[in-house]
Amino acid sequence: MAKEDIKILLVDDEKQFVDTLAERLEMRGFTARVAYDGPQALEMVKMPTDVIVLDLRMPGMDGFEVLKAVKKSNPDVQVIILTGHGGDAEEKTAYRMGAYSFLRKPMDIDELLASIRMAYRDKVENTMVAVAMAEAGDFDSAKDVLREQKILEKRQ
Amino acid sequence: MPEQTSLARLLSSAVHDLRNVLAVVRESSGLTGDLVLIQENIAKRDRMLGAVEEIQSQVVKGALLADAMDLLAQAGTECDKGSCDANHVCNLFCCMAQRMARASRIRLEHAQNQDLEVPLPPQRVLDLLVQVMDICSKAGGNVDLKLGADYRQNSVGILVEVVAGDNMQAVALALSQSPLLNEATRGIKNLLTPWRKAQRLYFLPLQGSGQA
Repeated sequence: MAKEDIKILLVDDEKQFVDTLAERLEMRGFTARVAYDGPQALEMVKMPTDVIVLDLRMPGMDGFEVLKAVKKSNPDVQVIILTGHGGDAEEKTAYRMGAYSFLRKPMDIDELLASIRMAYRDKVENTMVAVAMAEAGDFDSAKDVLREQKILEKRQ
Repeated sequence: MPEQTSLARLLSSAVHDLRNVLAVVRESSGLTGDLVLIQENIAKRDRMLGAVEEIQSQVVKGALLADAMDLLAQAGTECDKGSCDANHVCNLFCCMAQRMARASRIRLEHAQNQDLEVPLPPQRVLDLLVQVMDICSKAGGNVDLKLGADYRQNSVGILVEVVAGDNMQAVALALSQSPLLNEATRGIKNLLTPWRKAQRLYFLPLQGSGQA
């Protein structure tokens, strides 16, 4: 299996689920690391990460808090919400906070893979646009692209 | 109503756990399938892959039931926004009522249509669908029904099609001339009208008028 150059961080307190999912992603050529709670996720996101697949309901620090902290510290990292607690209100809140997509468990792995690949592609595009703006001396716009582009898209 | 809110919260919590259980089953069986796929010479390989596929398909059914339970959990609570996607509700109804329908030898099928938002809470749409099924049941059942939301004459509503079955004519007659017991069913009598003469297709408007 050819290695896909996408670094994924899976965050879920359901150990058996997330370990198995990581194993399946590895079998498909992805690099997948696992965090079992919010604080561990925030520690691990300090290492190079492209896409986070994040549960919402976790003991202690919940997914929304993790999402908020990640968007503050690593605005270029794309966050896909994958939850068993999927109401419309949670979905709207997640998008408002900058989530890339919102999936409900039990999801089809191909659906998750498609979402991961799209999130990564958009991350790369955003970065390229931001770099071009920064090279042109427009640092404020470059920052806006990384921080707010996806949020604005979801709000429209 | 506090009791209803408590029950809704408990049901919602149980649904969350159910989805997590289904997710573990899906991933574990998926991993089994992945491992079997990469082994060329494993005994009964096709049988194993078939079994994995069956588990995955049952998980999809389970997920639909979880969605249905979630819908019931939200009914009448602050999460109930007073409107719903009528096609999604039809799909969940077909899933939830399958066992109930089987007792009357009624087979329910969802007509796959596009999302259709209606200004009615989901429990109201479910209530109307249960009443439609009761009419068919009292007429002897033994039919296949296809349910789905769509537009007809600038109104949005549920299309009830009597697709097949030995008792098609009696059920179709009952849908046209059903006895009415209360306000809700009186509504059905007025509104549940044959759409086309040649087909056993009925339309139950869910609002006065709408944009096609």
